[in-house]
Amino acid sequence: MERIIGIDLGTTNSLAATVFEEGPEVITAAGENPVTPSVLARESGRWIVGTPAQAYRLSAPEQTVFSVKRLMGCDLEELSAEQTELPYALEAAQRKLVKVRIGEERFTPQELSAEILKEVKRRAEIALGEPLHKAVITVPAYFDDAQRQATRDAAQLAGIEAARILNEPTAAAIAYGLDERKDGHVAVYDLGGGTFDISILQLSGKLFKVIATHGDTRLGGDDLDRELTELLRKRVRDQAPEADFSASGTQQRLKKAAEEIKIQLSGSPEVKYVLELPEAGLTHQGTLTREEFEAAIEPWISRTLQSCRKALGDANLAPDQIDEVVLVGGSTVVPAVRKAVAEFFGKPPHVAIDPYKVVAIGAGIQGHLLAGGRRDFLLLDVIPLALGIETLGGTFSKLISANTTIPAQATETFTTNVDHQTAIDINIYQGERELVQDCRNLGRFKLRGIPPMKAGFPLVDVTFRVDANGLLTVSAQEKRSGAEAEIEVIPSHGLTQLEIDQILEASFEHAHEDFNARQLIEFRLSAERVFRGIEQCWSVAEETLGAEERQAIEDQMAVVRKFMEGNDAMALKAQMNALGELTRPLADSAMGRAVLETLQEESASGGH
Amino acid sequence: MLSSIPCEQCGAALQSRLFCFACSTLQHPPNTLGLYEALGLEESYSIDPPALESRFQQLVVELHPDFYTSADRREQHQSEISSALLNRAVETLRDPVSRANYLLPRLARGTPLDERRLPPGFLEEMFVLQESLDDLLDSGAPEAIGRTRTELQERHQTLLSDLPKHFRQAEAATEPEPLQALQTTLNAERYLRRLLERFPQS
Repeated sequence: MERIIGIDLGTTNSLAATVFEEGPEVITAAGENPVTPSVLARESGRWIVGTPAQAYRLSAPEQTVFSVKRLMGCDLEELSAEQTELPYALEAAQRKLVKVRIGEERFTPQELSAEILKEVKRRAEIALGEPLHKAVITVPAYFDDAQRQATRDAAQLAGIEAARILNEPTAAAIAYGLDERKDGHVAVYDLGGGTFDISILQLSGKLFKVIATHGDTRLGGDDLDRELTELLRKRVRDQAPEADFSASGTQQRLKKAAEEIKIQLSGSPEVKYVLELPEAGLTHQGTLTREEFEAAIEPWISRTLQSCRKALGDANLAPDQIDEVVLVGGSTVVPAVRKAVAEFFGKPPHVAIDPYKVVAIGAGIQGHLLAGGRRDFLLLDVIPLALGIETLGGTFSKLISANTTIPAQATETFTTNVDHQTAIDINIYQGERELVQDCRNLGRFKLRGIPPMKAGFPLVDVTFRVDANGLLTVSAQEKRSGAEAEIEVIPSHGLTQLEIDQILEASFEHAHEDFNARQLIEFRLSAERVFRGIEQCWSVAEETLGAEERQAIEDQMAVVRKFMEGNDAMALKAQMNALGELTRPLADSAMGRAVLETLQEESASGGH
Repeated sequence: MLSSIPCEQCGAALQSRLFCFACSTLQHPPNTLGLYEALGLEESYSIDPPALESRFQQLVVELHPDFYTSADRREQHQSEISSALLNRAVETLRDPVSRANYLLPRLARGTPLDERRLPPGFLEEMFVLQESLDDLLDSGAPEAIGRTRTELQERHQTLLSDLPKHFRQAEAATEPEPLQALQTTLNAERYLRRLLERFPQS
């Protein structure tokens, strides 16, 4: 049975989970943080992903990319609000694709997400000690088809088969449901870094059924941070009206300070802070209270409650008919959020499962199920937004309505307007509004090969099929002739298979270079750790080693330093091994044994 | 009239055309399969809601694509198609109005029914009501709006509660009149439902 892991691909953080013999848990190597920050930095034509990339946000903001999830499956127009606060530049590409510009290079959000997925996969492979090929990847429930397709394409680019695209609140409900095993109605309130979802589920026996979902793919913890950043900016301006905030370093420093203050305010009613803004040439200090923060974020919380009201309405339930409220996402640790949710549903939310981990764990359980591991529950999910086509006068004609259980299928019959017409243009949309101009265009669909007949005579059955991932495929058949009409869907925001293949081909060409580059980064990091280790027990060396031996170690450390600046990973490795030989005598002492263990561990794990 | 069609695999009489419970095998029915046939329920307007739900639960845990991830492509595809049909069947038949709208054309067996005809006097009455409704909704007077809504809801409810009786007549009838009478009732139902959608959500 091939393992299928679960990956929570988040706006700010990503992590993986699986079902171990002891039960479901996040995947992490001993002593490491399971979280991979969803941050990328571009350095000499290479990607640095996760924790090491975070430092670049302050030192080289133009080379750093974060919040990629907000870009997935969107066009430039939709992102205009985002553009002003992201330090990297966006440009329009073919069709409605967006690309991120870094220096002279350009990347699609799919490629960037793929780098994050690769890193999560790599770390999981090291921790589990086995190669991984398949994953259940989570998305916000309110993601539309374009955003889901983009996520699946990112997985393909990362060399991962997306066994399932799973809704985040649903994943959380799986983790919760299997933990608690109580029948009834569960509301999952999911406020992540960049998205908000509410899902109402009905748990009965082995069936977990989503009955309604609502959300906002443009609302999340980032917005709370932005309010706080704005608050700080105002304060600095009050003190120094001429302050220049334009440097992107200044903006990132303000943002980082806001994030830290937000976290501290969850634990204490007020926070004293000092802001160092060297690019603006000033230092500012002050105190921020929880009340001030809560007043600033109140409008955002209200918006989430409006979504809750809508979802309950769709489910035909009153707030007091919800038996349990589950909180998901890092932003739900904010006390004001907890309080508002508790008041809305009239009961304290369930917080037994870590809101940071619960989505990944649910995805891991679903992956285990898909891999054939268990059959003791079944999850029935819904599509978040209606799917349909444009009809006369730009009206949106729905074929499948929102909150329909998936897999779903619907067929509608169309005909021609003109005599001997052999092709029909069909525009596919997704949304909840009456006019197509207010809905998302998913793609154009050209129906060819209709036998020439009088207008209104051909009967063309167009079938929409939504699979268990919430992904749409369209097919068509002319009924009178029985001819399968030729169809061609041109995605509006996504990548065509050809484009995916081209990106993959390009990455294979660079595979060897990439491998060397990644090893180089790893060996450099482990050399630094070795140096720290040697320093820590240098006193032992002074007691047990002669001056010559100590000199040899110091000389070899200088050699390793020189190779750390070079580009040859294997040569660096050889010099590190030599250093390992020289420091071996330190193992004779009890204190030095720890150092040697570290060295051996590093040379073992450095070989990946 | 329950299905006496045998299982493709073991030949046992099928309870549902989608799946054989005797040998646990996915079936491959024609894509013209009716919703009642899919569930293995007798095609009649009056249904037993708990029986519908329990048949759904029985089938959904056998058909869902989650359980066919390691099967071959044909079976994966069939599980998706059958699951979609099952979902559509239960969602359509669960609701008394969508069940009626599904069943009526099947009872009519190709006899064309007028989908615009409304009960005598209905339209005139609605015109009067709609004229005052525009003013009423603009005025935003919550009590008056609430009263009108309740009135319309009660009317709508009466139509719904008459449906089973109409269907009993139509199902027993050999001539088309009861069918058209039923269609006319459903047309009025649709009219009232759309009108009610114009009211602000409470």
